[in-house]
Amino acid sequence: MLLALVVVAAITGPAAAEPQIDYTRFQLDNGLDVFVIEDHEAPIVYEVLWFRVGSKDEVTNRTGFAHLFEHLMFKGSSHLPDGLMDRLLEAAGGWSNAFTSSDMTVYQNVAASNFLEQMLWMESDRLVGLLDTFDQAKLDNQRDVVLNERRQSYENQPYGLASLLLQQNLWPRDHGYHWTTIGLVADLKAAAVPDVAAFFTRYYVPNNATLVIAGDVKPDEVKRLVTKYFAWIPKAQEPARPRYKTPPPITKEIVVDSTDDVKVPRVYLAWRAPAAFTADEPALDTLAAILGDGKSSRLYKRLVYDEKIAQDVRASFDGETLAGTFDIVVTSKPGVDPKRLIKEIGEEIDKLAATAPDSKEVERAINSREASFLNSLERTLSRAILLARYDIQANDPDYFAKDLARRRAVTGPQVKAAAAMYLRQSARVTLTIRPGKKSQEKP
Amino acid sequence: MTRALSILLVLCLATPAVAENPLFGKSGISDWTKPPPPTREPTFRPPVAKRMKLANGIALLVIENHTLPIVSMTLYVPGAGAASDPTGKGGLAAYTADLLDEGAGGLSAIAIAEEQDRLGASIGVGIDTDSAQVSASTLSKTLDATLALVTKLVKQPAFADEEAERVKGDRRTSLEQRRDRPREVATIVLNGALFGPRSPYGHPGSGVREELETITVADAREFYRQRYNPATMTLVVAGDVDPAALRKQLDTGLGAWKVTGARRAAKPDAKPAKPPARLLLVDRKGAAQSDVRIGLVGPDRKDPRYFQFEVFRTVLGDGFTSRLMQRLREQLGITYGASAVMSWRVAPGPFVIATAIQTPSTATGVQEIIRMVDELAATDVPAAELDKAKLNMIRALPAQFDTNASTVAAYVDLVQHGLPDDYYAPRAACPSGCYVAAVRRVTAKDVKAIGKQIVPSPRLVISIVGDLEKIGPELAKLSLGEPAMFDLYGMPLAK
Repeated sequence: MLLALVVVAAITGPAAAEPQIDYTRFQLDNGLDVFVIEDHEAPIVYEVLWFRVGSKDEVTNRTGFAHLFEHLMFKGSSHLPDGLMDRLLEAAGGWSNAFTSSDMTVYQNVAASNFLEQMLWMESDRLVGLLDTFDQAKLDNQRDVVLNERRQSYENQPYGLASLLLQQNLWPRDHGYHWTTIGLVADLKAAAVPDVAAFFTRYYVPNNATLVIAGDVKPDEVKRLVTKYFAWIPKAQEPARPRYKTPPPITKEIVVDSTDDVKVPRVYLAWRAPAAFTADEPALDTLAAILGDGKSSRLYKRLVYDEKIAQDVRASFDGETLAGTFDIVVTSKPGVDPKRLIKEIGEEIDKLAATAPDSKEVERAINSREASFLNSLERTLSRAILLARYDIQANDPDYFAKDLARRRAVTGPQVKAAAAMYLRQSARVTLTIRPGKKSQEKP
Repeated sequence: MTRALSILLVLCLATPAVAENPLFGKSGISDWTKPPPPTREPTFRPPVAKRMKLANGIALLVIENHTLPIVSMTLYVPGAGAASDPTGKGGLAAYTADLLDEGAGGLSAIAIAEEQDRLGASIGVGIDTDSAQVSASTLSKTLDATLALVTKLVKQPAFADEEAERVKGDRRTSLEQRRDRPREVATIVLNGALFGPRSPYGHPGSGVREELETITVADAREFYRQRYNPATMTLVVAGDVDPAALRKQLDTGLGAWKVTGARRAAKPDAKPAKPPARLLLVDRKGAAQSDVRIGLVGPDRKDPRYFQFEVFRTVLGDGFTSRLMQRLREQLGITYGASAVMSWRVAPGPFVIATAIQTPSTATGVQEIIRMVDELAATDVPAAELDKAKLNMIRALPAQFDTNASTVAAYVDLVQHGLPDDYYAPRAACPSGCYVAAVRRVTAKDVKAIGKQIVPSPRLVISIVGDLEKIGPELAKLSLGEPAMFDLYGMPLAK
């Protein structure tokens, strides 16, 4: 077990060694970055292949394409008939999946550790030969699947179109976060085979990817096999991608009202915030915990516990590469005017912006966040993804210890300053969804 | 077996007839066409549990894992689940469990939440049909304080009137919101039809609006008194913990908790009922998809055909390569996902095929599902497909012990079903473990027999929440008989 993840003194007890995620790394001549995390706890190997492309890189009239493309990566390649990769991985006790966000597309394969070479063979085959067997039928099939994913996760969900409305209003039309990763139906329908080839050729190149192999493996053997299956793939041009300017700030509250086929109203307050791994991120995350994470949070205490005018509350900060978002979501009790919720949420923000939370409240928020952070790292796969994220987004694979340290260092005055600076009413999008007819989307 | 699927399987290791991409020539690998074989099969020994007994009868299972300074645990309380709800008071078990962390041992609900944050602990209380479970994850440094808090919750819950009223208010709103959750409604309607709508396994564990107001805090207190019996509980702890020290601490805490008048959990009186119809429908106007639940009462966990059934279920609907996923998603493109789930319970539980199908294809999807079930009862599963399912069940075993929490869950599952603690471990009779040996023994004939004996398609009951104006006419052509109708909350509508 080479994972040296030692918790230091945040909660109680003396400081131990600095925490870190142990890894070895190398880079192939074609630019592919490779990390190996050795962990022999269980005879399993995890592969994470991270491409630096997401929905922010999509072009006009093709929203949703990065995610649709992700689906196509599972439809076979030169020597892998459609479905064979899943059959091989499942027979190896594993599975295959991926996710796409505004910034990234991340593939994950899992198998018994003695299938490492087979796993790399499959990955190489689809990275080199995806287009060799690609055709219209595969595109049509996965477009249908994605349209069903959209129905299941958005259209047929209560309040399901809220995220679309928030992003549309929070970011201007010419910014990469204006649209959601799932995309618009018309754009998904317009996607064509030449789009697939162009996207693959531009973004699915070794110099735009990071590979992490984690689990019951030996770094030397990983290096030998990764070299065998990937080193001969040519380096490509650095992908030319859309560039976005920082949009002018929101200076007047944007109020959006919508309806859905739901029983009770829900309000969403959203603000732009700094990007991931910038200085104010830990204070914003602590602020979210204090305001609206769990039963000990201020909004829960006031709106759910004391006044009983809300069913649930949630506050969260989400940092991405271009910028971040701070969200507060509160579901109303039946018969409660959502305007009252909005007013009282505003009062709680004002309180925090005026008076720093005391050290006990800050300590609770930090401890609780730290514990869930550590717990999430129990999974080898989560560690692999986090390591890639540190390397790609923080430019520092050893960021783990620094990340913990900066989260622990947050003070009450910093939380107050973050509330005052970022959660201004004049800078927010205020969305209310009331019971009524399910509203139609507007592009 | 559909032609398309047979072809896929035959093609498994064949090379497609396309011109070779010249880039592969640069790899220096002479034969790209065959997957490289695996190296030697690794050995896997599941983590071993140390079993002890506390003075008051609580069984203690400890699994040491010192790789990270964290601990997970579950206190398993048999007989405190939804199946023990008194008739007409559906949701009482859930309400009782909900109240445990809403004030206990002199701490208010908020103080309990704050203490968890301070400790870096997270405590959750929940129920399933057959049990209640109090679970916690924490840092090993604060384990003692976390255990003390857990002990307060289960030993000294306050059941204060004011907190109980507030929690009831939250439950009331959640039940009002049920109409917004069509998947839940489709499941409720199906379970009601399979077991009887007010029966132990047939009523929703979260309760129904019509019965909520009859439930009082006194009911919760009495449910707690009768059903939270330390003599029948098991505490499973995994992580960075010293068994002897833990035992010592528990002796003065949880182990010193004595009660009188509590019951022993009895097997729930859960029997299959006569469904009101084969087709159960809920009209949800404007639904973009139909939420579909198709099921029947399956076997119980003690059934000797357990392994055969699990292989059958894996082939049909577990994983991406299952027949349901391949046909409904990868070939027809009419869904995002489909699966077959068996709830293994103390008494026979539901076997359910679950999916959400785009509205215009609803009848097609239902017809396909029935056809796939029939096919499994009529035709041997091809060898490659059978092997894939069995190997998956065997080789995925280590992942069950991936985290402390999942290790705890695996052991709670053994306890719940009265299986030995070393169930997955190698033994003289079966060196790679008796679980592995039992999976290996399953044959294509066995799987076919499951289809015939346990899952004959005419027994399947079909519950659908969708836009009836759009899906009704096509569904009517499936000859499923006169449907029974339910409202958006899953309650029967008068004919």
